[in-house]
Amino acid sequence: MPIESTAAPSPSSPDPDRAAGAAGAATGARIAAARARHWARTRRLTVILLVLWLATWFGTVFFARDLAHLSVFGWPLSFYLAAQGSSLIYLAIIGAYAWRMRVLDRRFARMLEDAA
Amino acid sequence: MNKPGMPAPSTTADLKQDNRRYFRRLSRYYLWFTACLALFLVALGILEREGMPRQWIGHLYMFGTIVLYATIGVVARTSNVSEYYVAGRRVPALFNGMATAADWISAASFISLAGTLYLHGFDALAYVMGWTGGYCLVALLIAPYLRKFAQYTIPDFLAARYNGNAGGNGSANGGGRGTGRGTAVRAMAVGATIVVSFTYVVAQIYAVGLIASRFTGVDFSVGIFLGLASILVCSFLGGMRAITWTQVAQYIIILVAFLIPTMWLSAKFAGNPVPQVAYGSVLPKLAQREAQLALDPREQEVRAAFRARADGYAARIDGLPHSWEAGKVEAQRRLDVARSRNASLGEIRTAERDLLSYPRTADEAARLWTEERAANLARAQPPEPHADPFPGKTREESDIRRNNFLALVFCLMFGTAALPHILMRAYTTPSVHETRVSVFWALFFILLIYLTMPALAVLAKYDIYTSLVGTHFSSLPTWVSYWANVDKANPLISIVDVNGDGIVQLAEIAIDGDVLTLATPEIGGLPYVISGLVAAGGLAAALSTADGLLLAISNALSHDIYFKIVDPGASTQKRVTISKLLLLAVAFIAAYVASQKPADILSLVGAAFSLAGSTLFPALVAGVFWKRANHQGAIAGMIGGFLVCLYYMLHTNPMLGGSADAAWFHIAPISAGVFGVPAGLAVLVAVSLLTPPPSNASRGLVEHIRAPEQ
Repeated sequence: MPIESTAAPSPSSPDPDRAAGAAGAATGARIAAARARHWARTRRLTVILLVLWLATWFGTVFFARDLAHLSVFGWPLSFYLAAQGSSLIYLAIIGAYAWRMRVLDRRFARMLEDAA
Repeated sequence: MNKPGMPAPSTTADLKQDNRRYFRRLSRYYLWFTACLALFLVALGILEREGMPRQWIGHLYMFGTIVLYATIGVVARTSNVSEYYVAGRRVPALFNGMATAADWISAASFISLAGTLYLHGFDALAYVMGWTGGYCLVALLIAPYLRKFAQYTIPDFLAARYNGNAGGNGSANGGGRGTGRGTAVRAMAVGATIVVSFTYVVAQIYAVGLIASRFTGVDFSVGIFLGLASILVCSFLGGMRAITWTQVAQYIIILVAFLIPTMWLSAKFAGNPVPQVAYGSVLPKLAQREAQLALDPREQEVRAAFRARADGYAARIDGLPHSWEAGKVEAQRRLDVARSRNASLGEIRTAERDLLSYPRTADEAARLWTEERAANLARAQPPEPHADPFPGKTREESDIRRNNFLALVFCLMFGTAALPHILMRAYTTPSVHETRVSVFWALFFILLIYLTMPALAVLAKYDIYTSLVGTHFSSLPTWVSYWANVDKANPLISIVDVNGDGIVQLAEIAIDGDVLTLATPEIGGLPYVISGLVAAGGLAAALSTADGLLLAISNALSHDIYFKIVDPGASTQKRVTISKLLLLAVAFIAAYVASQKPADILSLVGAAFSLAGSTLFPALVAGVFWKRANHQGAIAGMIGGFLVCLYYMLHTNPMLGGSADAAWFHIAPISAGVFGVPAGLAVLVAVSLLTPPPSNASRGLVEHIRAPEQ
């Protein structure tokens, strides 16, 4: 929904779940731990997918001359990879990221419920 | 379109259901739109068979589509801040992806990319790889975090992150000191946004003028202002909301316009209407034909003729300045002879023109003849095999081409991930998850076009190599003469019988990359309706990109400069009004610049990617992934990246007064970002580590954007 312009995310003001008071101190710690775990997983996924992305384009171009002699369905392999293959791998990377992050987000939401 | 007075849903479940209903309604609208488009095409096809003149069809397309976009703009008009800047943050992922794709597919990629692939073969695939690969960086590193941040522009994010005080509540944290620093980062980000987007928007408006003048016969500048009118009605009235819904319609037109002729060609030459699959079988045949043409004696004859011409220029360059004087006397003498012996008017005219276009000074002659020599030498080369990666005489030469390919891919990817008008779209979806999905859809819709481009290039090349080469000059296909006459000053295609045997040789064909997409329907023998459709597609591609760019510029000026720096107390109504006025001003400046036909700016568009990547990418990514990055680091990184990139371009681009010999590792100036991005990143890291860590507020902001949505 439209967010009023001045209502910026106010990171300095404590999050509601963190400011649960003395009784909620333990809960707050658990939430912080859940967040940290979620971020660690996100970061790992990002790194893995970025390495795959780098290997795709760099490998395709760097070894293009060596791959040119192989052929798939009539295409020289290097031409196929450059014209279609690598772009389709990019699409798969983005799809995998969106799907996996949704799983991670849901896992985080469950952890919050458990903590509450 | 969408009703402004949508009731605010109270719970998440309501919100989800509401979004679904909204999605279904939009899908219904666009299905109707597609059906109407199909009907329109069929009706025009029938009219053409009944004998409607081509000119009228061109006019109908041009005005029909412009009226359509204007209508969407009027229906979706708004003056609500959130609607104007970020389309109310409720564009479903699928449609946001389509709009991003339309934003992305510029006139250059729609009209010129297939031609570039035709002319440069494997080398040009760098554009396909780079322009699609950038979306991985957008999806993984930037877009979801921008959405979580949930503000309005890219400078917003940089200013909040490198300031320690987010948004408008400056007094609460950070205080005056922090605000000052945030302002510096913001102003620099705005500057980068404007530099990058403005060169790009000028090129789009230029393309609008070109297409309009070629297809409807109106004057170039009239074409520009017609296009401008439709851009303005759309973005002026409704901002992001109007351009989003216009762009979805434009994407559908782009897709239909590109796929119909290519599928036709594919069915004709490969017996399979799916070009992406079919051209695999054409490639080996093309390679065979290339090998045959490389050895053909008549081809060699023509190439020898070009080499002789190049040698002639070389001799004249060596003989400067005497050769220049002798040439001038000779040209004058020929004119006198023609006049004295009462030659035909045509001959006299030719002699006059020769004398008039003769270089005025010896220096000009040196420059002109060097260019001519290079052009003739290029035409003396045998055709390069289309699918061979990096052919070269020596291993070293081949390595240089590979390194340049890598560098270009690198720059295009990092540039894509830093283009403000694309990143701005991350703000418009209902949730972070939808933003991730929308990047997926964006790349999907882009690939529908981009995977077809190499196919079109191969199919057209095969057709030209087999059926055009070898025909008699008296029986040239009609599309050749049509496109040769469209632009007399710079013919898009020219075929001259160099060796005088009356038969077309490959080396005698000079083809401009821009003609390929536009001429595809005629090459395939389709009716003029489809040619008009392709032109409408090119127009849609140019207009949609121009819309997004203009909005990015005017938002940066109105939101970031006016509201955040000049007058933070401005009412929302005033902000939107200012934004609209600025949009108008920027649009007119861009149109004026485009109407001057600035060749230098057009050649700089490729450079915009390098500049964007070097300046904005390091600050954006470090802002999310490295808490220690601080404002000093960001400022130094942005300046450092920009300067390194600019220095390299000025230093190595002959058009900007540099020299190609000064290149580092033989990297072409267009790929300056390959030095700029790492330099920017290195400076950012070094300066951040040497200065105090950022405030707690900055760290809090990073925690906030990293945290998952609840």
